Amino acid sequence: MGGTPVSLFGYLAGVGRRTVAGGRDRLRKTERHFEERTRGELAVEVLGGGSLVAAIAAFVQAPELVAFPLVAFLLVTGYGWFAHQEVTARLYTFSATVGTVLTLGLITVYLFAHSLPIFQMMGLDIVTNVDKPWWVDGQVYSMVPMMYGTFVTTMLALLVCGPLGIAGAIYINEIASGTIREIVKPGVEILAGIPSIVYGYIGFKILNSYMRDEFLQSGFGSLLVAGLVVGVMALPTVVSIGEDALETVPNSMKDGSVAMGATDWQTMKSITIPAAFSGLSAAVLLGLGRAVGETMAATAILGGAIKLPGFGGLGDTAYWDIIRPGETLTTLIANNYGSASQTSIRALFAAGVILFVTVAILSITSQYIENRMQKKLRGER
Amino acid sequence: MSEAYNSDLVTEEVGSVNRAITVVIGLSLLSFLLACTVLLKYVSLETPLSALVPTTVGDGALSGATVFDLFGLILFADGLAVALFGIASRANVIDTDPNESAGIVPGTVFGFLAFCTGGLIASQTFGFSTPGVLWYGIVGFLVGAVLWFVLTTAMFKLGGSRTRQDEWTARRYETAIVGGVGSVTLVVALFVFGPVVDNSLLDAAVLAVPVALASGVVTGAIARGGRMALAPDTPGDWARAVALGGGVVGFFAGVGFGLFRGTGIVGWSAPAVALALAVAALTIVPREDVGSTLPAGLLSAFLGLVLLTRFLGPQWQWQPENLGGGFVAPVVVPSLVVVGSLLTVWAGSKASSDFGASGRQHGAYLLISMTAYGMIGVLALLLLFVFSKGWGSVANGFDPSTLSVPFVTVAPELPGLSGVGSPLLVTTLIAALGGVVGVGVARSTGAKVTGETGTGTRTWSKSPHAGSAAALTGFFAFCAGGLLGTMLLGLEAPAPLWYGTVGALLTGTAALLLVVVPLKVAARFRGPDFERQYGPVALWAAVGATALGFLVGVAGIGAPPADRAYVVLFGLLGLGVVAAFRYRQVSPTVASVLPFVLLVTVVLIDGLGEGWQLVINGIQAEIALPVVGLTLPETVPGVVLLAFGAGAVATAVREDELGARLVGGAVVGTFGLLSVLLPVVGMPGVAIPGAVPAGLLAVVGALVFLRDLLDRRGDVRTGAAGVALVVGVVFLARYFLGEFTGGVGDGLATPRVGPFVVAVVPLFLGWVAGRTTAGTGFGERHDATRILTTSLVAGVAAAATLVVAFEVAGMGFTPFDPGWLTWPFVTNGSSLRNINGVAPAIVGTVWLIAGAVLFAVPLGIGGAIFLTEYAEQGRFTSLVGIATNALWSTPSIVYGLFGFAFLMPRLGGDESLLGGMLVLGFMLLPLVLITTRESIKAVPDEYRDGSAALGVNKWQTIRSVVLPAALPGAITGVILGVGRIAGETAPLILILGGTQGAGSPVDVIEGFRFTATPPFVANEVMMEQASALPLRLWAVIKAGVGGSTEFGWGTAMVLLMVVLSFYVIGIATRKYFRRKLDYE
Repeated sequence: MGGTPVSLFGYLAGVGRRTVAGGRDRLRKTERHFEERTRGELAVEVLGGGSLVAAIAAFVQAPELVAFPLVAFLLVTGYGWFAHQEVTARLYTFSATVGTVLTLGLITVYLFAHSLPIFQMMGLDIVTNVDKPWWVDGQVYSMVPMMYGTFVTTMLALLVCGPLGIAGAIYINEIASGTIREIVKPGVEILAGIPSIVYGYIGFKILNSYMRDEFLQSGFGSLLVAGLVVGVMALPTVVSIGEDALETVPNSMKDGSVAMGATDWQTMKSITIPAAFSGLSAAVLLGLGRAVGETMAATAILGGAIKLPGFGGLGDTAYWDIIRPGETLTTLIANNYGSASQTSIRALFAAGVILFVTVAILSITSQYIENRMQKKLRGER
Repeated sequence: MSEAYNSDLVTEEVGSVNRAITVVIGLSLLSFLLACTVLLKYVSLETPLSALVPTTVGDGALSGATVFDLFGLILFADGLAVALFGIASRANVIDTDPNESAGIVPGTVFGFLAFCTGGLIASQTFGFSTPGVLWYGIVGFLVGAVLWFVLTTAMFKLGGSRTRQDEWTARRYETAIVGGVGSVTLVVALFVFGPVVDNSLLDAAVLAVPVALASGVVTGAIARGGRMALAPDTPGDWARAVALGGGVVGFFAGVGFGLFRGTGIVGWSAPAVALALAVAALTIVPREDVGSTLPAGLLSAFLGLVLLTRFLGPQWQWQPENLGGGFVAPVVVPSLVVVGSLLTVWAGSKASSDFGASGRQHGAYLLISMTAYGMIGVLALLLLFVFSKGWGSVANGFDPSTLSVPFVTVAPELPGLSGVGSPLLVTTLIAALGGVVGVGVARSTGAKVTGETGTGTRTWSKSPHAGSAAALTGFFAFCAGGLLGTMLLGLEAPAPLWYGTVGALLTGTAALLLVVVPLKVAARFRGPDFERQYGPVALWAAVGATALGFLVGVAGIGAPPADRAYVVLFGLLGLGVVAAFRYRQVSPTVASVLPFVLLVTVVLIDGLGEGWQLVINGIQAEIALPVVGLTLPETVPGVVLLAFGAGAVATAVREDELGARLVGGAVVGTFGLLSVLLPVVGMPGVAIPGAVPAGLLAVVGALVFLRDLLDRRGDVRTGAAGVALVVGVVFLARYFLGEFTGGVGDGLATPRVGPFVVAVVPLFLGWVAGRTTAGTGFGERHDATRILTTSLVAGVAAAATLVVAFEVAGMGFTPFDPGWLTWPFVTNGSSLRNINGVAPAIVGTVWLIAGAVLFAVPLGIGGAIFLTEYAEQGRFTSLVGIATNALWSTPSIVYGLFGFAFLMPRLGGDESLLGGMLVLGFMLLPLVLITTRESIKAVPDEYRDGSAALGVNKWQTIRSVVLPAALPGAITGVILGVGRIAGETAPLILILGGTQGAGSPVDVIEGFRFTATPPFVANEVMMEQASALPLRLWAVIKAGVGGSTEFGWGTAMVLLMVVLSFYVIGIATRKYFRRKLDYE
């Protein structure tokens, strides 16, 4: 193999070997990696990778020039596909990975970068300032009312989707007969697809007037309704993931319990649910994540005025008065994105960061729990 | 469930008791349901019962009684009855098998319910305000419970091992000690560190000592009581029991502290708490039969009494100060009834199965089932509600005309449908029905014919040509059914079709008699092998003859000679395709060249005239196309033509196995291409609607592509088919969507839809024939796919023949056809003058989805391959996994913000369709990556090892082994993800704009322009705002009172249908593949 085309790398590798004794193995690997390639393969790798990097850089910095490197990349991969498919495929999948990770990284970076000025301006006050005023263009941005609104709706949603969702999961997993199960399980999954804007429209048209008629509400929109609707929305997700969690409990565990003379319900209560507990809580956490980030249903239902009920006697009502409308982090963004003030728009990004972090924590926690459960069940199997 | 447990234990008396309990449960369920209807405002509280139950019996008793009274009565009676059952059981009057205690969970729940009830009643009496003292109590409860839990656990950890008996005795003292210490700590902490306490330290200490002593004793006592309820046998249980006691003490300490601080005693919370504690104690302390029935029964009876005494009457209303709203009887009463009836149902069902283990199961299952039914019911109602609300505006102006005929025939009174039907459609539909039945018959008789009936469900065998037989039978049944239907209904069938049918019947029958019957006879003597060998040939001869007869019949009527030639041409083309597929191993070159020869022949027959010249011109034009300034639709056919031409040449050069496959591709391609080409170049005297060839191309491409997908393989033809599919769909979309004319009220341009619909019918027949044959799992898999393909292609050929023949011969559908479908809501644009429609929004949504999928799927799948197959499994890959999962649950509005900040400035600084596509693509990306990764991981390593053992390199293994196996999972994931992004609104309001309705749909394809400056391709349409279904709905909401409610519901319904259909498809795909994998 060896030969001229790789002499540069061989040289570099040699230098590396001489200078960095510790990284010897890795370098040898790198060297081998390049030695195994022919000139053409190397060209495909280097040119393809280079042009892709150039394309991404161009899109970030000078979008109008993006066509050149992109066409170059297409040409190189097109050539590579016929000449050196193995290498090209590897290059392509690698680029796709890089692209994906980059995309995901960009989202985080842009979100944080755009909100940074607000965080610098407000400091910790942005999440701790409970006193009026909360929102003055270019001066004060306190997220507390919105965080409170999000908290309230999420808790209400939890009250709905937690118990009902787990009951639904148990029903499908344990009680329903084969036929009903066959219908209900996919049915619930389909219902998970109802778009949030449809819930929002129902809330807007039906539930808000129900609140006016039946709860003597004077204003428009209510945190209570928003929370309940979001809970119903998250319900199918919780049911479906919770049922999956119950399903993963090995039958041998249940059989052991039944063989001891326990009833189905005793088995469910003392074997299946404890074993699947972490899975069930992961399901609820995921539902919670959906509830936290739910935008359209809440925006349609809530009137959208930044206010904080009753903290420290500052509001006009008690803080548990959830019949009144409020604002959540998501509705804040949806209602104010058209704001003329650049600072206010950056404040929306701050709200986005809080949402992002909250949901990321929920998601990571639920993943952690799920992993633990899998390990546990595998250990007991 | 419980009956199974009881069956061998019940005695006669218990039977009658059970019956009584059943009545109680039934009554409770009745009131539960009634309460739900009241909550939904279907029934009012003051509706007289006589209006609900129109009966004369008991008219006197019912007169004047309302639903409200019924609620009170049922709650009261059921509550008492349930309580009586418990008492009777305790007194051993009835024979039951209860546990020691009802348990802590029902205790807590009952306590909570009692708290609410007591609070509600008490606040009516004593007034309502912020329960300051109560909050101190709750904080005290939490502090006490946590403190004691920690302390007790620590004590056990330190305690070491003793015998069980000793432990229990010792722990009681420990508990008391711990309780004392804990109380002291608590009280001291509260007093000393309380921010505004102005008492001296001494005072606090003096007060703390007796409090601590007392609380220690109380804690010990409660913990002991709790022991029974919790039946603790591990230190953890013990710690919990003690923590409960500690919590209770802490509660009172907190309340005391609150009072001491002068927070003010609050009237309503004290009785509420007292009631809660009493009920909880009543539940936990006594034996299970009493514990679970008495509190439930008393609560329910109490609620009943409250209603019966009209303490809380139907006019009741309560608007507490400093609350943004209030409570009225029509909500509160049914809610109370729901709670009360759930209690009695639970207790009653426990009682009916003798308490104990089976009783608990019965009770729990009943509650869970009711909850689950409620949940499903609510969600289903929601769907129904949207549909019922939306139908009005969606169906406004809906006139299915000819399409409605079958419905009109079946149910003439069906509301909302009007219009006069075309006899053609009726007969076609009846014929199709006959075809399906015929296929069914063929399928069941196929097994008998070969005499190879097996025993198992999967093993019943078929001869390889059963599929052909099925197809043939199906076709005959199609014809016969059509004729019969026409005669029975007295409809006038379109002449060419039925001449064709007669022709087909004649020749087909002749072929059957002349070929198949002798074959069968011969098989009698020469054995089944003979039949197996020549059977397919015979059958295909019959099929061919039938088709020919059909063509001749059609072509023989009324058409001018030139057009007749075209009919024959296309018929032969169809046959050529069939032949190519059937005998491609024999002579691929002949098969592929045949259509060309035929084409040339026919053109020559056609007077050697202008037609040929036009073809030549057209081809020249096609080749000269790719120049700057042409639109994409004009360029693509030329490119495709070149590709297929290359394929055909390659076929002629290499006539081996690969060549044989290429032939398939070339034939399909040629056929499809001709279809595309014809409308472009134009033929003399022929005006073929563009949708026909485009549809054919799409269908053929889809079929071949699907076939290869099912076959788990891919070659050049797969690629070609994929291209054909895409091109066809694009054209179809263009032809259909291009016809939307917003605001003028035009429907779909009729001649383009009609042939397409008719083309689908025979296709469907062929498909059914193939599927039924392949699905029965006979013989080799290869045969199954071959027959499937053949049937499919035969179907396509038949469809092509039919449609093109009609169109060409000028005997088309236009005469029958004053409008195939008028559906203004779906086909109109935003309009003030006509019916306001959502066509632009539908098109916008379709484009958004297409863009997102194009962006996310290649990226996601590529990334997934790298992460699972190439990358070393380690910290990096798991980190990427966590990150993608987190991003999948990231709120959509955050994606919107990202698009707003990152994409918008780079895409011209304004809201744009492209931006929307990309943002939705970003949203879809994590899901594609996750699901593809999961399904690649799920591919067993044996697959990879097996491939590697054959000396195949890694990429080829991935491509031909791993990916095909993982594809189903990935596809399902993508479809479900698409369902989610299709209904997504939040990011779109930031990045897509376009909430105001557009007059006409965007035409992205027409928007492509080649430019001289970089990036060389420009598309203005994609850089502008576009409409999308969810945004239209959002616009209605945003307009507030000004928004059109009906339009909103209609949009919601269409949106739901679009999104849910994605979910249905996704879930069905998953199910299909899962079953397939299980089977394999």
